[in-house]
Amino acid sequence: MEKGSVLRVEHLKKYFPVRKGFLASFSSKKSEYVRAVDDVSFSVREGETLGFVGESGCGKTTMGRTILRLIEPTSGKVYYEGTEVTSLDRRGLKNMRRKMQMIFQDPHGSLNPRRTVSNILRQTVTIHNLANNKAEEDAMIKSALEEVELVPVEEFWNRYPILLSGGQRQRVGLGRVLVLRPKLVVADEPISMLDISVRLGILNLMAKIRDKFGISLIYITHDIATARYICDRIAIMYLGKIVEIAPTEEVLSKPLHPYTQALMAAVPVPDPTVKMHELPIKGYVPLNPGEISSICRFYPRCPYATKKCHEEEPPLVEIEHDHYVACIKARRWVKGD
Amino acid sequence: MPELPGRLEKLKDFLQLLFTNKMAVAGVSIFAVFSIMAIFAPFLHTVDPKATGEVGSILLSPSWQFWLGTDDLGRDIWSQIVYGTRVSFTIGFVAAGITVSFGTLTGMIAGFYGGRLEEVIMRIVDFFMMLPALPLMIVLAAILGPSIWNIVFVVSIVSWPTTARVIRSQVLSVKERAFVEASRCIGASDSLLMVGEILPNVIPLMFAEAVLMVTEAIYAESVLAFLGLGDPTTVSWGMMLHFVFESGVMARVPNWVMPPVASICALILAFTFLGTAISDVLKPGYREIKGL
Amino acid sequence: MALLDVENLKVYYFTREGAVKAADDVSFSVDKDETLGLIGESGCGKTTAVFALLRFVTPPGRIVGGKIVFEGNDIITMSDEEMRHLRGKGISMVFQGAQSALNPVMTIGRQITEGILEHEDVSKEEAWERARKQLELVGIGSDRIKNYPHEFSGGMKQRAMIAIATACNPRLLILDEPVTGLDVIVQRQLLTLINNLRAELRLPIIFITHDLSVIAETCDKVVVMYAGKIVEQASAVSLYENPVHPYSQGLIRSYPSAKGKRKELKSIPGAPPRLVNPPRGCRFHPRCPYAMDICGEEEPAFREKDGHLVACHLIK
Repeated sequence: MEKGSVLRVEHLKKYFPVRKGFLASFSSKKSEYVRAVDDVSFSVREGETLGFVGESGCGKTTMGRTILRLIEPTSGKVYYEGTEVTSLDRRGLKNMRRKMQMIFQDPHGSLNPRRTVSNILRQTVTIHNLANNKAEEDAMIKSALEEVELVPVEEFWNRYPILLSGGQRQRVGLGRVLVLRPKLVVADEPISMLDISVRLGILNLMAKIRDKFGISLIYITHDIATARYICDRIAIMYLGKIVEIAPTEEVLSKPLHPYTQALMAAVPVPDPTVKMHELPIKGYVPLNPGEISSICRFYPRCPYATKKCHEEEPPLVEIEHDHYVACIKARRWVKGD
Repeated sequence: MPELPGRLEKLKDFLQLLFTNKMAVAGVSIFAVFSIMAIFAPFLHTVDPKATGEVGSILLSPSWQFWLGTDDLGRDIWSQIVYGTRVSFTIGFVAAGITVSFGTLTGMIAGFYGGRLEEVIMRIVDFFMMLPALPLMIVLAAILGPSIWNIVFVVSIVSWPTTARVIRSQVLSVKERAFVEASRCIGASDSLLMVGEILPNVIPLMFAEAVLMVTEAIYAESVLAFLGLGDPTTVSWGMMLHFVFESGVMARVPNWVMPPVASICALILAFTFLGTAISDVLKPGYREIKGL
Repeated sequence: MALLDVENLKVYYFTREGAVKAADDVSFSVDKDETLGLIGESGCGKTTAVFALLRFVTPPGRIVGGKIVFEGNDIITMSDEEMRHLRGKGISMVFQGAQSALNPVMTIGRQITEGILEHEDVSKEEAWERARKQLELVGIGSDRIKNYPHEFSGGMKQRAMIAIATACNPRLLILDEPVTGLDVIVQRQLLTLINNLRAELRLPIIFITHDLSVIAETCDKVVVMYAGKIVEQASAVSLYENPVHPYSQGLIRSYPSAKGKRKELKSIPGAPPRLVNPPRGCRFHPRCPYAMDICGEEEPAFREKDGHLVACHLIK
């Protein structure tokens, strides 16, 4: 796809079988699948922050995990700087973990309650043999804690997670990953479970670290307002597919896919003088991820849908410069039909 | 802001809470009494429990010399009780140790790996649970022959499935927690995950299980010994019951019958109290519910 | 006279570690035809204050002081019987997390009629008829009256809760985080519903949330709470345009917006305090860029500035 890209994802799919009931399993009907990630392709450029925005069920979280092989993909390939991640054996994968890492959503659950802060960071160091002796280990841990602003370091060294605030826990999560000096980090809703007065601080910290260490970031969120502040490009996901992908301000000010347009109309704004717009969407209930066949996923709710939309899946194509959309209508609009 | 306690302080805190529970206090008290008996046996007015006496000293009533009197071979009953404590403890702790170790190992592997492996292990567990415990123990003991270690073995075989089940379900729930996935993402191997992340969160449960397993073992030994499958070279409470039954004078010698019965019941009760209290206290929210 | 007048409300939770001053000297009022937004982070006391309105505070919590005057009567001194009448009919509430608030083994129709029959002297047929109307009102078809909660999506469950809460025509409706956790589009549909209901039923609403953008879409007046205390009260428009209290300023300046010009954001250092041992004096002072000595000693009283009521020593 792109040159100079740190990550390349090609036709990634993750399907989950829907468990049939005991009696139903005797029937000859084929098993149904939830197509959580359905043929997703994109690349991440060096040093860029690519956002994945979508509502629950769109597959963004599953995709993040599948890229890192925390969940094994059903099919498709992932390349990190040319190396095929999806075909690595166990040792290769472990080595790859030094380059590709994840920040988790839940500050409370993502830290082992029985490990101290330094212990959590030390684990990363020892698993990958990053240090030759304890003094070096300690130095690395200290440096990571300083980077994530958990200072004075002595105060946090022996602390258990239960005594940390949500923001501090996310900093530990960041530190744990930073020890490896990864080049690609997938952040899965890193601030959505934090108090609002704390969120921006963590977001800024992530941006600072990203810039300082030249990390390429995949930022997964349902909050497009936040994505705006850290992402260079944004990909909008719907029911397992990317429906639009373009530079941030383009997506926000000139959304071309009807779903993105609906999202932008629906998003509330912290300004009481802005009136709520009409919501360009039909009905309430979207397709079930299990009910999909080859039609445009957004068809049941799209106010502009035509017969053609019901016959084939629209491909993701470049409609304007660096602005890709999966919608046959969008193509027509831009071309002035 | 008070610094959170390290491991030792946490233990102190837990013990403090535990001793507000009356069951725990009762259990520990009884346990303490028996521990003293086991440890200081030679100093507690005892003689060699296997030493038989001359004809004139059989079936004596309790006296200053023999606190509980003597049995049909002139052996001091009190000494048998005291030294029998050691046997009960040995069997109890060793069997519990084996059961919990093996049960945890299988429960952990089954719970962690899931899939086929879990199926296979759990079916084996189910099979063992299906076998009636007592008859199985009797048959095995009869085949293997009388010896303490055979009894320990038999008890372990019969008890480990329950522990495996309990541990497995705890492992299943801990496995889902985000920090396990986070460790995996950092690059931790399966064994590191099991030992470093999951096991520490399972240990409290293991401990409660172990305590309860001790009661199983003590009970089993007394039954097997009573039925004549015990080790005649050892002095245990179960053997005492066997002898008193065999002697034919059971109805007339409460000083011989009651002590082993009371001891078995008391010790089992002690551990049951303790095990139940520990698992209650460990449940999240215990403090709040009790209004402490 | 305001519909609801809360004066110096104090609700404390008495725990092993000490008294948690969840709501400490809280005062605000709601007029008829007004939507009051109560904004604050988790643990700021907004839900506690509102639970007190319905006397839902359970041990170890207790209403320790203050007055809650609704339509001229003090709720705190009402008898249990009077309180029962008030709940659902005078003041009604939609709880956070509708998933657990709906009874899973009762049809939605029954849950609505149950409330109606409890409070009003009507026949069963009439109650069911009204239940159907309620479902239409909130945008769930009346044909779903016999459905169970698990057959509804998240957004629909929330609508169902609103149907139940408005069934007896309450004079004041409290919504506790009604759209938190919902997808953006569903959220938007629900907010539209709430605004419509408010216009149609002429219903005053207390809207609790931690989401600044949601408040902006729905509320006339806003009360900002922090660590158990009210820090600022103002009209919504005025608050967003000109926040006076440093905490309000911090919140508004750190809040990203998806539309309009991309503005520079500034974060607030530190984290909200634990309420067992809140900071002395002004509870925000450890994080305040303008903190003075007096802020660490004395709690600030309410003063007026630019039409806002603000608790801050910066105002003379």
